[in-house]
Amino acid sequence: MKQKQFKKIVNKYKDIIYNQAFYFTRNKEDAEDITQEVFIKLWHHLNNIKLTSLKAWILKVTRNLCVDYSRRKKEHISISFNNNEQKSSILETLPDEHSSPEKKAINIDLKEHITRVINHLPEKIRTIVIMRDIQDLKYETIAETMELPLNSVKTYLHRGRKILSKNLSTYYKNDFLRE
Amino acid sequence: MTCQEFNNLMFDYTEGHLPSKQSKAIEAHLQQCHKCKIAFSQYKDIIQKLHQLPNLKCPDTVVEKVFNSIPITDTKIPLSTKIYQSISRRLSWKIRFAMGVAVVIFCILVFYPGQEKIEYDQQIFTTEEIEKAKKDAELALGYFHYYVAKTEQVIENQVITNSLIKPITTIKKALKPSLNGG
Repeated sequence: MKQKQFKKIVNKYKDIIYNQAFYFTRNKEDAEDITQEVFIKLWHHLNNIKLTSLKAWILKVTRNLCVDYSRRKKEHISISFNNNEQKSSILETLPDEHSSPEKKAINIDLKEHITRVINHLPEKIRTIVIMRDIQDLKYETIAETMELPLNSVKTYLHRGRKILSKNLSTYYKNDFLRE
Repeated sequence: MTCQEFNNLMFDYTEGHLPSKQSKAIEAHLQQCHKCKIAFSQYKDIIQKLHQLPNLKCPDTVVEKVFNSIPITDTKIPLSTKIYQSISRRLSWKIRFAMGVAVVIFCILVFYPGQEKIEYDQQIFTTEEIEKAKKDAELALGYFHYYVAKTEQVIENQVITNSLIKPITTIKKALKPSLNGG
């Protein structure tokens, strides 16, 4: 019975955990390890977790593991895709069908730069930006996971967006991106 | 509206949380202030680009590794444990603590015998009081026997000493209520 319940939970949350871990660490292997570790911890604590708090628990553990991995690896600003092929396969699927090839290339480059700069954000702000603007999680969920008031979450998010906007201002000097 | 005021309201404006009056004021400011217009445009674009970043799929190999590392057989949990775990997951620790205290108080009230009480002569005495009275009576009886023996000795010797008079008086006073039927 426990195994059946566990499998359901794994299938429901695996992508959320993997996404958060990947965008936080920007490393595929670390993201896989983190995802695996979260589920193993979940298996051992499944009987002690309240069902209503399961999602928050999972996100909290994911976030803590991401921070641990990040600190251990002492991340720097660098692209951590495995190879160029993988990089382009992920970003080329984004909706830019009507743009010119040139514009498309600039947009891909911009998005890559965004993911790089996200890595530069302070840990708390990084987590919130990923959870809200990439994963589209609700503010209440984020507040519960981060154990912060709702207004603090919004403040950190705004701060993160402003930092990204400031860091990427060079891209906006180019008229190609102004639509 | 100043640029500072616009900066302070930018987030709420983007999220659509502002009343229409304030939104209109912001729109008017953006039409006049080129700097804020560009900053706002970049801010919105960043959000849009973030939303467009792909939601990646977790590789199946990860899930397989997870299932391989957990025990295959499900150990049977007793029904009482399942019920307890099910209840305890739904109740906060405060409620569980209060329930525990209530059970303890209930057990004390129902099962604790308290002091046994005996009715005597329309008065209720505790066992403690009865034991004390018994000891006092034994002591008094002891004194009585002693002084009876002493008195017999006096009668025999026909000598009454001061050492005898006082104790007899004391005992007589102590026994007065009993002698009078009190």
